[in-house]
This record gives sequence, C-alpha cells and structure tokens, in this order.
Amino acid sequence: MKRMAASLALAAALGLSGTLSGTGAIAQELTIGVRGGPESMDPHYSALGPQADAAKNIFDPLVWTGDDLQLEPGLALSWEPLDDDTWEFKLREGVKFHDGSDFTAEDVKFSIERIPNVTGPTTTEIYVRRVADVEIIDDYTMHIHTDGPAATLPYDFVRLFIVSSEAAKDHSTAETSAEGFNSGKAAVGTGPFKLVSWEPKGDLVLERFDDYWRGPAPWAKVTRKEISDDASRLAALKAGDIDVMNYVSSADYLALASDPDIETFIGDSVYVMNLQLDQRDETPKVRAKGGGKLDKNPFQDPRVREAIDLAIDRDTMVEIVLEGLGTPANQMMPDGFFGSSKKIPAPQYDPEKARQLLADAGYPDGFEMDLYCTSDRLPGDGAICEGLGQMFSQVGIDTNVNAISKSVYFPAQARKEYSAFMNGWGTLTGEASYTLGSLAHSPNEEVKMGAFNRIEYHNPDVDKLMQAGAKELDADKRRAYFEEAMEKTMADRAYISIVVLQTVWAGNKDKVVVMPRADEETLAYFIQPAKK
Amino acid sequence: MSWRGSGARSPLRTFWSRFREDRIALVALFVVMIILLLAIFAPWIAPQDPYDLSGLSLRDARRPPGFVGSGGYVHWLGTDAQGRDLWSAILYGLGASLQIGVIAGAIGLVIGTMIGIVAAYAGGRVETLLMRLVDLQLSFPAVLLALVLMALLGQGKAQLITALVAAQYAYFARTAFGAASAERAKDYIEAAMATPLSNARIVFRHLLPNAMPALIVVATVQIANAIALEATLSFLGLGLPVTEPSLGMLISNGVKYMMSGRYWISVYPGIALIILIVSINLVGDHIRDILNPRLAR
Repeated sequence: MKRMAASLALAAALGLSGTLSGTGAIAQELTIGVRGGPESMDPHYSALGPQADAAKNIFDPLVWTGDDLQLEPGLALSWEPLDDDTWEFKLREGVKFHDGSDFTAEDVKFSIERIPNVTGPTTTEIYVRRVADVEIIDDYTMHIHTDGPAATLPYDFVRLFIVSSEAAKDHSTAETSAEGFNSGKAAVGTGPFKLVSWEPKGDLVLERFDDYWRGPAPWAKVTRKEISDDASRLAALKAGDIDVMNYVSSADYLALASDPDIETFIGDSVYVMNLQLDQRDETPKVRAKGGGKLDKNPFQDPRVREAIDLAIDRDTMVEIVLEGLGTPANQMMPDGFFGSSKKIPAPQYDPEKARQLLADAGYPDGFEMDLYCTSDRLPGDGAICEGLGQMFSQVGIDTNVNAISKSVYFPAQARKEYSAFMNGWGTLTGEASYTLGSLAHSPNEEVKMGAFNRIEYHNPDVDKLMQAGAKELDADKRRAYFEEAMEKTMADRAYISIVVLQTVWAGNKDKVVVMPRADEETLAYFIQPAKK
Repeated sequence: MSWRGSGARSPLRTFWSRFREDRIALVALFVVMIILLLAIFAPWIAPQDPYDLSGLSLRDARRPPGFVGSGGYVHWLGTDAQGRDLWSAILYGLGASLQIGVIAGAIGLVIGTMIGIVAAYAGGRVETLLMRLVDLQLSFPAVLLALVLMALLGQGKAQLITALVAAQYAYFARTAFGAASAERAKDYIEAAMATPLSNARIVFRHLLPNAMPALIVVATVQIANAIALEATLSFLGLGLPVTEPSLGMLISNGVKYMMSGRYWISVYPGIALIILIVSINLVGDHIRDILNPRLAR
C-alpha cells in the first residue's frame, strides 16, 4: 500500500514535468520504458532477451526474424546448404555502418570469431556453436562450414549481431570490449540508430542513423529508460514521462483499457505454460490420501495423465486468471511456429471423464500431490498454479500448491526434486528443435539434447524424429519430422500444455502505434508515429 | 468483615474496576473478544472453507461485494482472484494472524523474560554479555531482521514464528531486565538472598511476580506488533503458503487490482487487520496506564 502511495506521488510529480516538456512539441523524440535493460553495449556479451532487445536498435543480426519469429532476409539476403556441412550465405549489398564504411563478409567473419573471446556468463556462443570455419568467397558471399549437418544454423544466426570489423578491431578481448563498446567508440553497427550514451541500469540514448538500409527511422532521438518495477513504469506512462512501455500486467491492462489517453497493444508471446509430470519409477512428491505410500508412480499410467489433462479448464484459465491475455494451448509452441502441428486436437475439459479415468487406473479416491510452479517469472504463473490446484482437487487429486520464487524453483527442478510442476517455456528461436530437442528428447549428452527434460520422459520415436530432424537440411522434410515429434509428445501427455501467454505494450494514444513481436522485443524503428 | 468481603481489594477486582472506567478500552476489549470468537468459530461461521481448493471455483473470481456465486450464497465482501469468499478468507485469516501473533508473542515472552531476569539476578559479566547482545539487536529494525531470517529459513508456519520470536524477544528481555533489576536492588531480595533459599526460588517467587505487570503490558503490545510484522512479511511474499492466506497475504494479493477498481480484495482484509491491531493496542495501552504507578491516584 505504501509503495503504491509512493508511486502515485511519483506519478503526480512526473506528470508536472511531463506536461512542461510536452509543450515543446518535439514530435520526433521517443521515450520507451522497458522492464529490463542490457548488461553491456557489446552485443556479444550476453544471450539474455533484454540484451538482444537493446542491441537490435544499434546492430543488425545476420538473419532477420519477423513479428512471428519466422526467418526473413536481413543483412543476409539468402542462405542455402551446399552439402552436409556447408551453408552458403549471400549478403546484402550497399549496407553502411554508422561510420560510413561498407558492410562486407569480413565483418560477419570477424563477428563470429570474436564471440568466444568477449562473451559473458550467459554465453552467446550458443549462436555459433556449430560453426567450424568461416570462408569468405567474395565481399558478399560466404561459406560457413559446420561440425556435421547443422539444419538449424540460420535460426542460430537470428541473434548473431554484426559489429564493424574496423571499429571493434581493438576491442575484441574480454578486457577491452566493455571499454570500447560502452564508451560508444566501438559500438558501430548497421542498425537504425547510433549509440549516444548508455548508463548501466539507466538510460540508453540513441540517435537516428539516416543511411539505414531499410530507410531512416521515424524518430530522431530515442531514449530507453530501464524501469524494472511494473507499477512505476505504468505511473511514468500515465504521467507522460515515457511514451511506450512493455510488459503491462494483466491486472493493469484492464485499468488501462478504460484510459482515454493510452492505447494497449496485445501480441502472442513465445511462452507456453507446460505442466510436467515426472516419469521416473520413484517420484518424491506424490502420495496416497492421508500420506501413505503409493505402490507406483501414478504419472506413469497414461490414464492418470489423460485425467489430469481433462481436469484442466483452459478457457476459464484464460478468461479469469489471465483476464483474457492468453489462448488455450494444445502443444508446446504457439501456432505457426516451425514444427507446430495442426493435427493435434483442441484440448477438452471433462471432469466427469477425468474422475472415471482415475477410477479405472485404480485411484477411485484420487491421491495427493505437491504441485510446484514459479510465481514471479511470467505474467500469471502463480495464479495459474493456484487455478490448477483447484481443478485437480475437484477431480479428486488433492493438490498442495507451491507457487514459489524462480530462484528457488529452477535449481530444485534441475535437481529433479519435484513430481508435478509447471513453468513457462519460450520458443525463442521460433522452431521445434529448440523446444522439443530440449524438453521432449531423452536426456542425452552425446547428441546435446534433452538438457531440460527434468521428468525423464522417454519416447524412442520422438528421439528418432528429433535426431533425424536436426540433420535434415531440407526444410519441408524437417518440418514433417518436427510436427510428428510434437504430435507424439503431446499424445503421451507427460507434458501438458495449458496456455499461450500474450504480452501487452501500452503507449500514448496520440503519439505511437506499437507492432507486437512474438519475441517480446520493443524495437524503436518499428514503433510508428500515430496518425492524427 | 471477612477477607472475602473485601474482594474489591483483590488485585484482579481492583484492576477490572479501574479498567471499566475507560469506555474506549472497554469497547476495544469487546472487539478483541468478538474477533477471538469469530476466529475460533470460523469453520462454523464462514460460508466457505477458503483453504479447501476443491471448494473454490475460478468462475467466482474477483466478483464485487453482493455477488451470488456458484455456491448459491451471497459474497457480502466479494471474492478474491482465486474465487475465495473474502468474508470467509478474512475470518480464517484473522485466526491465522492471531494464532501466529499469540504463539510468537508467548515464546518471545518466555525467552526474553528468562534472559532479562537471569541478567538482572546474576549481574556482572553475565549481565553485560546478555544485555549488550539485546541492545545490539534492539538497534536493528525488527522487519529487516525478520526478512533476513525468512530468506534464510524458507517459508512455513514454524519458520515464520521463529523469525518473529527472534525479532521480538529483545523487547521482552529489556523490559524484564528493567523491572527485575529495580526489584533486585530492594531490601526484600537482599533479605531473601541472606536465607538458604535457592536461587530458583528467589527468582520465581519474588523477582518474577514483581516484574510481571510490566511484562504483561509489553506482551499485549508485542502480540499486536507480531501480527503487524507477520502481515508485513506476508505482504512481501515471505509468509504463509499462498493457499492458506493470512490477512497480510490477502491484502498483498489484492493490491495489484486496486488500479483497475477492484478495491474490495485488498481493502476489506486491510480494515480487518487495522481493527484487530488497533483494538489490541488500545487494550494494551489502557492496561499500561492502570499498572503504571506514576499515574496511580
């Protein structure tokens, strides 16, 4: 309550200053309030979302992704596999860096090769891990040699930011990169904006680059303010201190919808909430009602898993818990992603049948389980968890709900301490090898898959399909493999997808139109001035 | 006149007759009693068991006061984000808050009193050691200490009580020490020490009873403080499990809906908490006035 009063007071104070500066009619200035900011101005320092979100204003990735995360030509115009371990990339001609120099294959090679030297703890090496060697054919053609067939290489390159080989030459070791980039000296990209200044956890100030290859941005000056507290960011928007904000919470969304000065923009996110059911013979957090031990892990019985699926009322989850900001999910990726299947049936809600299935499986009185979820990671995660607890209890599975902090949840989940647990998974690359390869494939170090399969789910067919898909360079065949793997995984119901989350931006109605992106990035170039 | 006839002179009767003089304190005591009864009989009074997940329905979530839900009864105070009837949740929440406040207060009282009296009776190095420790802790904000402890111990009722006791025993120790060291200097204790009475007997029969009035006052105030502290911790998300909300957590769950006009989720539990704490404090204040010899007529 106190904090709220403080932010209201803050809002009032900011409101005053907002109207004062607003009278200057500086139409081409844009101020964005973001929840998270970058860790460095070196785009290769971190693989976290906020880093890429900020970097994309200054630098271009080699391969572009559209609003729905599907691949589009960017700095690379086209790409195709020449043989099992070579990809040919054709580059766009006439692209200029901020310092006026030309973009060529040399800069791509330089960028790929500097990554291992400058990356921070959340490593950007994942984007170039398959690259064995980079061969420059001419200024605008290059061959990337990989360590074996790398079907998803273009997807890896959507976050391969290209820096100027000239400007960053002396700032490409762990010691020199921060100094060169954070001062702006080496932070020379081909992106729509030039870096003016940046303070860690503070403002990132950008200025329009007039020779941008897509054409100049609508904004002469852009300031990205890092305001991590949701209520403060909202207060700043209402006060006119910022023009756009990301990550509006579902509770605030309804309040904003009735505000005449503010427009909200809703987009599907890449995040799907998945319930995960432990498949080991012994599972720790399930017991008979009253505390007795069960003879076996009930989640190994497909009827129990189906009962749990049928007990979930996804429409209510979306409508009530998320206040409409989501869609019911029937698979681990949103519609239209590479490998999402259209053949998977829509989820059903049938508590009667669920009770019947539990009885058939030998649990006429149900059983008791501890359900674990994050409560502070994604919008609505804790509330969805409580909602699941209600729905399971109603079909006879007494559920103790533990909606806890992500800092406690993820380490314990990795130690496999949970039996039934739910968290969001974002398909950040837009294709299934990232999601199914990490979650549905059996844990296997050798093929580098199943790293996040914490329930020891094992389906040999899925494993085979995923491995075949990872090596298949023909996109249509690969898509078919992934779709079949998705169908089989969802049919087994060890992973039960619940909802696809939506993300909300809000902006000053008279000033901006925001184009929602599935990767949740807030890119100033694509924010359009409102038509009056 | 037998001694029974002079009942008005018995300390309890005197106390009560003086307590009755203050109307406000009397009303406050009445309110505390009502709240106690409501909390104890919550399972029979409340239309819904808010801790039973299978009895809740998300279809009833965030409904305004007066809404008739799927249970067929009126939600007089509305419902929260999980479809809990707020009136029921407040009744159960009062119970949870009182229970934790009283248990933490009682344990704090016992531990603190022991430390204070031992320090006062033993004197010398023991006194210095114990009381400087207590002083050190008193210089620390109780909320901060409780927060750190909750972060270290994890969530749960036992952990919460431990954190509250650790944050509060020092107040009891200070009070007990003050009262006991004043008594310690008096002649009757000196006289008792000259006899072969055991130390324990002197402490329990002479020192402790005389330090009691001050401790009772501190105890009432500290129960109210423990309840407020528990609400603070729950508000910050470090209290009881989400499915068994105390008042602080009910308030915290509702705060994010304040901007969208769904005030009742936070406001009603807030009012309940304020009434509870204010009435306990009023009762405590009045007891202090009565027991304070300086204000005696």
